[in-house]
Amino acid sequence: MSTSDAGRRMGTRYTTGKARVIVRGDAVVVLPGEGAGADDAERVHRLWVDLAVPGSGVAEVLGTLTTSAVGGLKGVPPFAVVVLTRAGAGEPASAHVVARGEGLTVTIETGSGAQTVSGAGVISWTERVVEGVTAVEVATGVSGFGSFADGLPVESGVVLAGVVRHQVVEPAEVDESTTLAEPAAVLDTAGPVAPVTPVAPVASRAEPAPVVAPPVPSPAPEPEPEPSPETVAPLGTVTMLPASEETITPVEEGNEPAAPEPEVSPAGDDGPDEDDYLHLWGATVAHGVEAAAVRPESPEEAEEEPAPSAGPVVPPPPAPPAPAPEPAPAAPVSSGADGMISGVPISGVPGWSGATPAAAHRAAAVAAEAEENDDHDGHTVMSSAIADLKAAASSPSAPRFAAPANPNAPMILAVTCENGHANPTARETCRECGSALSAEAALAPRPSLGRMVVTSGAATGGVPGVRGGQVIELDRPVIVGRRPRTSNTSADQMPRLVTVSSPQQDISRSHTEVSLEDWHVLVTDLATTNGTTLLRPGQPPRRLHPNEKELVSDGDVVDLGDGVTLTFEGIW
Amino acid sequence: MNDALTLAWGAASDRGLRRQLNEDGYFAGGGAFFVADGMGGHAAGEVASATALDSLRPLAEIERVEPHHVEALLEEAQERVRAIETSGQGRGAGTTLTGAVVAYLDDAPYWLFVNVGDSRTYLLSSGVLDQVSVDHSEVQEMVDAGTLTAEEARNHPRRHVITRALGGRDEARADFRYIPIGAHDRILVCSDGLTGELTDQQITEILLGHPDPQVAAGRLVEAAITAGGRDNITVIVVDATGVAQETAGSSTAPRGGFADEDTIPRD
Repeated sequence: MSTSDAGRRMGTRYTTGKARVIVRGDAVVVLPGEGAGADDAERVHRLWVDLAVPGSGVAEVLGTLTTSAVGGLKGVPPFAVVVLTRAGAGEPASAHVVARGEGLTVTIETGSGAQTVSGAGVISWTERVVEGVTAVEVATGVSGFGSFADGLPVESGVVLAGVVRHQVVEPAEVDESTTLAEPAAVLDTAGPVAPVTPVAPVASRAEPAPVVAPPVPSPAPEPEPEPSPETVAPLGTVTMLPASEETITPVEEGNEPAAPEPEVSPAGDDGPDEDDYLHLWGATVAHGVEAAAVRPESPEEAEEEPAPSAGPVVPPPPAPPAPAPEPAPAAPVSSGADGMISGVPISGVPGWSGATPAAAHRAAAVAAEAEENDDHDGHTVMSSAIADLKAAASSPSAPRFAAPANPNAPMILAVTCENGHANPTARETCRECGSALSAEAALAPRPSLGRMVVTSGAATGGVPGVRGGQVIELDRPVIVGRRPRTSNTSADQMPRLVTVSSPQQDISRSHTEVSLEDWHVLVTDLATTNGTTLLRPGQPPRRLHPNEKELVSDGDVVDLGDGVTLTFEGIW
Repeated sequence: MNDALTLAWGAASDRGLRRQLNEDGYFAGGGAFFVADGMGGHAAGEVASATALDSLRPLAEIERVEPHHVEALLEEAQERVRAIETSGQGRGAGTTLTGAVVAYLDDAPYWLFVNVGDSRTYLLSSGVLDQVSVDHSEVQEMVDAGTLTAEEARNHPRRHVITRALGGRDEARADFRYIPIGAHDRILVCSDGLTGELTDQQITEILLGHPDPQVAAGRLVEAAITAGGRDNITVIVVDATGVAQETAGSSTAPRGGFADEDTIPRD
């Protein structure tokens, strides 16, 4: 390993490997995940474009990585991002480093030593800002080839790499065994000997089961299952008309309260055999996908192959109990039992004053700008909405509400203050009560991520606020529309449905979705006829791309049309 | 407006032509409509489906049903199905469970759809049939991943392998879905013995051709038997009437089921 060799040269160098690495400007993005899909190519393209903007940094990259993910946080691939801010050529830089996923290790070297940032063991990602950085090295955990002896330089581009190193400051002649011990170790673990399997980004998506067993010989030609001699049983139909209160108990075959005495036929060979024929006729079988073994399931399939042996039908071998992937890292999950307060109603916090100053400022700025821009940019902003915005944003008696804590709140990595308020890990003081945050980051029930004020139109589903507007607590996702519906989802992800009136029928039935990921609030136009417009201070009104998530900032206003706007407050 | 909602339904279930037992079951009443398709050797499937449905009975007593109510009952069902004795041989008992229950969100009537496994619910709205549930099956996952077309999935050898069930090792993890109850909407809850034999087009024609839900349910089962009847077939057809047409201001009759044709484009 001749890291020092490369180290003497400035700039970015890499060893070839399998991870996609995007180098552009002072940013390096490493994506070690499988790079096969079109999604991945699309992601790389977007990141490349993101980084073309001077001054773009971690926020933009994270935005792209999280919004292009399918399936929420689980869908976000492992990645590492390093963005350097330089004081001057050859001077130590400030590095903003983010790492997600088990296999990734970022080693940051400063004048006083080296430290590592790893994505292992956390749910979301690890983020750190380090000053005085002389070099940064990212080991992808996917086996790389070669070493820095033949490390290749890259100034800007997308490469397949095993380890990437960016040398900021030319090192003095140093004893390489000391300073470079750490990266060396990193490289070794990433070496081909012990490749670290990257974490599958989508844990819930069971992949088509690999064929683990050789195809089981087709069962013997199945005896023609005779339709039972007696004629087809009469349809077991009953008509039930809804009685007002009395509960009709439809007693039907198979529907009687099952006497828990299953008929067990005397053990013998007949039972299993019969069972195995039956499955050929369309029986439903439950299978863990990971434990799938191949077995012909349809008569057509079975007939196609000549049965090699007409021996006794052997029940398919029980699939080996595949090691089920751990659903979650064994992070300490604190439950309510050990003193964690599961969600604190904001209204119970003394001194909480509704709209944050930032929200008020931004909303006011939007209103002012919108009025100015009203004529020349072609985007019409409803004046009524602006008036309402102003009212909502500036009202000192902004709505308070006592929404019950969401019992299904997902666990999230947080720092919890002494009063039990969960905060993002990057904060130093509690937003609710101002107390210092010194505790270790741990999983806690996710608190509300802010509020959404429906400033116009008649909405149902929230708590009445100022001037007939409704306040929606962002403790779960929301779908807003004229006649909203949800997609299929688990109970704990079930969105709140907010119905707004739309006399002009301008608003679609399911129009805008507000989703929560990690500590972020995102808004999505649900491919609507008339679109959703984002009003953000300092920017012209912008129509959201259909079905693309947009990160919401405090004070953002979203316009659905027909005078209905959503104002976001108290966003982290 | 709550009083206005009335439901009429019909149900039918048949063993089919190839199977010795009817391991399907259904429950209809009290605003709850569920079908279960049991599996497991030695009649365990029959017991499993009946057990799961029995666990859901309390739904009829709950005034405002929410997903967590259903989830709690499903957990109980899961335990009871797991406890079914299967004599240590063959596959353990398990069952799918799918259906819908009337729920109110801010006084507006909604269907709360629930699904575990590959039995299905459909919504027939304005003449268009849409599948509401998403199968928890291997072939569905392949379709989602783009490696299989829906047509290929119909005849795929692994089409009966489901990835979620009540009674399995893993948590049941039901899907939930809210859809507002529309006037003249009809829902269909069925086991895969129906959808394995009939195409969506055939199902739509039968549903549209028979206004009486009981007749429609019977015809569907008959048609599935005629088409082969390789599995048990169970069908519930529910009609919602008397529900408020739409929210205020919406007068155009929507022509599409899931699409948004009644939204008026801005100039």
